[in-house]
Amino acid sequence: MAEITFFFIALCVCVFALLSVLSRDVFHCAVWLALTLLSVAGVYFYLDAEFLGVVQVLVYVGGIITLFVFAIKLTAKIGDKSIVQVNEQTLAAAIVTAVLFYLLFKVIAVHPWVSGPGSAAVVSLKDIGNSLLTGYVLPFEFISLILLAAMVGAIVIGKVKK
Amino acid sequence: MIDPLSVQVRSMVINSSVILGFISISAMFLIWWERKVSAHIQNRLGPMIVGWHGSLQSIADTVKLLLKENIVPAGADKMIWWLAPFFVVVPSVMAFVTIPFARNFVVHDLNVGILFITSITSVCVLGIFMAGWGSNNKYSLLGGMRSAAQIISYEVPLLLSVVVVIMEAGTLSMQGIIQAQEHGWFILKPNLAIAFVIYFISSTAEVNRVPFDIPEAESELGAGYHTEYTGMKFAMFFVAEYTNLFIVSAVAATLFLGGWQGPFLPSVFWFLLKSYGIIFLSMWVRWTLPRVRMDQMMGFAWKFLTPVALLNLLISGWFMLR
Amino acid sequence: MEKIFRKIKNAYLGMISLFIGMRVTIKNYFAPSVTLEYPIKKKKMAPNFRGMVDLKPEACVICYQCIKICPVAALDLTHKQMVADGKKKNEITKFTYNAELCCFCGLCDEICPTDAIFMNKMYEVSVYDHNQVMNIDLMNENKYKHVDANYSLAAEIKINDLNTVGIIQKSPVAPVAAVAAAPAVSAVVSPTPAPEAPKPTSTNKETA
Repeated sequence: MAEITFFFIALCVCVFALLSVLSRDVFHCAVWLALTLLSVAGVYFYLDAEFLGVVQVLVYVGGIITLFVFAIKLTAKIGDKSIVQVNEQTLAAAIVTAVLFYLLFKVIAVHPWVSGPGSAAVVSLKDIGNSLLTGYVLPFEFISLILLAAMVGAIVIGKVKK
Repeated sequence: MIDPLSVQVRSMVINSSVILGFISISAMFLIWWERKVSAHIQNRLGPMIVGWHGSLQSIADTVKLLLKENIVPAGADKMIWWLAPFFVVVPSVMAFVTIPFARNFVVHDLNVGILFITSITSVCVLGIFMAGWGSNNKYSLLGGMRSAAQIISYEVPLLLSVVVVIMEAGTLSMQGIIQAQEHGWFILKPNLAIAFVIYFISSTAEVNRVPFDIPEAESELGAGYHTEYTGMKFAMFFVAEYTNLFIVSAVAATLFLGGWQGPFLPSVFWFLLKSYGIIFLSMWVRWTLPRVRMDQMMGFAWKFLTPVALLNLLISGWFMLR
Repeated sequence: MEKIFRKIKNAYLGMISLFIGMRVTIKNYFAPSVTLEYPIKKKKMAPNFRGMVDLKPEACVICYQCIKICPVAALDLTHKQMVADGKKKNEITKFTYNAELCCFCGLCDEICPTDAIFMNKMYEVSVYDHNQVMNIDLMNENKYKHVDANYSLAAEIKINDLNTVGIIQKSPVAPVAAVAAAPAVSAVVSPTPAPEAPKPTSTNKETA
């Protein structure tokens, strides 16, 4: 019974991802992408990684998809006509994709996957917070600096020139 | 990972069914109550004929909306237009998962409760934008873009004020935050009182209510982003707005006023009293203030509320670490 | 530094003004409402309100003044002479009223020497059939029953009799037309009880 839940969520991810890639209209692609990311958050919740799932929704869907949508709407050319789905390199692409798929399939099928409740460590929120400020403090501060630089850069670029 | 037939899941299913029933009734009640409160503030009576003092008016309105013709605007992007109400209603309903209605009535008390609510309600932005875009109407598009900009701007002071509460309580879980208020409600502490004010202002902007209701301004943009929706789809937007109002008020009651804690009466009664008290406060402010302009609103969020919230956070943290 | 102080002062004043506004609002919340719940409670009309035209058939002296003064010819009267006990008497055969043409000016009420024709206080006068507004038979007691089930001629007559606003002492002169009206009005000027004071002064100015 537990597998049915997982298969449903995984099916959602695959279907929405496919729809996102195959849509003709860019705005539709963005919407399907949002649903894909929400389904991935569902996978995280299923695996008891609640903090990760919540942050996935907050950052990806709440922030990044909003950014995509604004970018699509403010650059009128992208949103106008439908995207061309095929070009003259279809045959070569099909061959490469088929070979890649076969290789990946072989690798995954040969590997002895352990199927069962799994022994993933359940990381509590306290541990994440602690490690962010003790073990991983350097990457944490570095990322904050990058974000600060991005914000300052955006404000400078967006300022009205007097 | 989860056994679907275990006791935990069964209690979750029962709790969520009760809460779904509560949501529908509460939305209807809130629509009626808003009309009555606004009427009495304006020295008039409001709905009086259908039921005692018009209490069945919401049911009559729902029946009317069900019977309306479903008009799809010409040139609208059909799939986007049709999907938009879902993106607005589903996150509102999902946020009820972690709201503690009583001492032991929570669908699932996640240990990231408050963050869950904030993240799920930020999916509404996409829904509003889709509604504005899919209508193929420049007023709807303007309303949708303004609303999206407003919501993401006011999420920042909202989260910053909530973080002060989290620091004080030491946990993100909603029941944990209520337990931490056993010795006194959080609003009685000065830095948390400021956080409450910031939270109240930001949440009023999050649910698109006056004074921040530019996106659905009735006299400015037709009806804003839900202009082209008729019948049940419009009812979905309406219900989502009032459900969002209830969620932010319930979260305020939980974070700052002690949730379901109270002396003699059953805990669910205290919770509902506090939530509806904050909703009354929100309605009271609605009928007092005029609407702010779009640039004033953005300036207020970025130039005033965010610095004040950051300062509050800084000072609270400093006092906590001393 | 100045700017920061000014910003803080502005913020503080803004909050105070919000609280003052909220106090006004909550006071109005508990104040009684001014709504008149219309179909359940109806308001009484002012004493000089001009509703539909009504008639006291026994008071009419068939002087034809109302017909002559009506600016839109909404009234139609015919009479015949009857002999009873050797005396000749006029009797109304038909007195109809066209409410579609009527402009509700009240001139027929003003000119009638016996106050037989008057304007009643009906204001809910919608009907579904056009014919019901074109030929209203003023002699019929139940002329407006189909419009308002609570209509009663006696009640309307009573309200009209109790109305004393702006009553001119109508001397029972012979109904010779508007020429007699001016001397009749100026005859009222001399003995002036208090309520009529404004009216005679205006007519004084006209004749002087």
